[in-house]
Amino acid sequence: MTWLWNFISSSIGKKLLMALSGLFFCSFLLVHMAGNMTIFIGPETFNAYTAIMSSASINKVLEVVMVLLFLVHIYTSATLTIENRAARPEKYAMDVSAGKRTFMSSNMFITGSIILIFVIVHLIGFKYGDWSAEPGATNTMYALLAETYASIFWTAVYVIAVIVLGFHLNHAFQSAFQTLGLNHKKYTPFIKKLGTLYSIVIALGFASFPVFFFVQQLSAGG
Amino acid sequence: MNLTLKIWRQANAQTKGKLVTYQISDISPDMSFLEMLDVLNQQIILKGEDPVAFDNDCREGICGMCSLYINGRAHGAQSEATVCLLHMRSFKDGDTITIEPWRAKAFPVIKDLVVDRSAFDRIIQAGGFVSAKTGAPQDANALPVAKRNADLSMDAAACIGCGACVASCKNASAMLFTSAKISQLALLPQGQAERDRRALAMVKTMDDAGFGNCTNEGECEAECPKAIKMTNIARLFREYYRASIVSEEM
Repeated sequence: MTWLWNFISSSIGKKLLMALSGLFFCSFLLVHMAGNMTIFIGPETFNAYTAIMSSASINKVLEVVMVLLFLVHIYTSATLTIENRAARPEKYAMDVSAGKRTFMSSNMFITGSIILIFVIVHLIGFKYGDWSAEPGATNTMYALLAETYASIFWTAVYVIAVIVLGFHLNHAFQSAFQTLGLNHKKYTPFIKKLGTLYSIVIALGFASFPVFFFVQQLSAGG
Repeated sequence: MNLTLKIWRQANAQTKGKLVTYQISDISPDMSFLEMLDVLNQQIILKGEDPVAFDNDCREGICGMCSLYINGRAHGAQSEATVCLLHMRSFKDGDTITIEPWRAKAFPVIKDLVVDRSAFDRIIQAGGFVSAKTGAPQDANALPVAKRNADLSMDAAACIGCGACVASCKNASAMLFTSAKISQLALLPQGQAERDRRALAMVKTMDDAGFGNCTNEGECEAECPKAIKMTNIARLFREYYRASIVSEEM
């Protein structure tokens, strides 16, 4: 198995691990967002959805896979970032972009670190929060969401976090395809546009949930 | 033209360097950037001081020796050109110009603006060649090559190994260089026999040299004086995956 270790510990192997785990998260985010859309149908539908999600045994397997891939993504990005910083011990006194550098491409580690903190806060707050999917329970996930997003602080935290996520995804999406070796004039311009669209849809989609609850309680209170 | 130059001076690899300011006057806008540096060095020599060391050779944009980071850009702000093709008319009278060497752990400074780029030679030595007894010249069309592959291979072979890709990459990655050297051979029939071994050995040597990793930003492509494209890096990945996963190479 030396070949496998040589492969995944090489610069290109590590990039491949980043790309594959990242693309898995890209598809997860779409499913997560689509599921959350049941919020807009109503509390009953959303709570029924959370009951299915928390009881389906396939999700237990997927959770383990996702935690492992998350650790791979974090570990590999940390290793790559350390190596990249070490590759230029002396900085330039003057450094100007030739035009390809973007806020997204140059801050992947920072946006990624913010997302990591956010994911931990998010899991503590919701997945492991005080809620129940039992029939007749009053402390439903919907109630927990409504309670959390009644606070302008939590609404702001979530909106800012998903905007940061959008910036991360904007570079990540098209970058993953390049790493897979898929760069061709036939489809690369399309992938880049799709990546931008994807990152905007994800950011707006996820921002819509806290904003929905926040606005709802504002109008209810007013 | 009268100019203020801030030039990186470093006696050798062991000592620390710093930016030193020089004033220079009566520079013709028709001079090349390197000729301007020649004038400066003449003045420094007449003062009995140590002239600024900088790499240069052909001064016509084909050898890849010149390697200056000018005002924060590899080979200056001019696109698709090396420093030797940069002219003083690109600057304004009274400008301050900052001149630094390529900065990368894999390219240690030898003196002032001269860096050791032998890491590139080691990458080539690891597999950037075709080992075949060539014998007598072949008939021109004995080996058919698709026109598009010949073109792509020629585009990759335009790489002069100057190191601007490493210098401009925020991670000091050498993937554009390595991908060009792999692509030029992978696209041709002569390169097939050693294709997988080449990909494995060149990437290993590149990694061991201390270059950073590619984060698909594209500054290298934008700064390359020979317009080597990032599609070559995607090809490098494909070659490496093939060699690692599919080929018989261990």
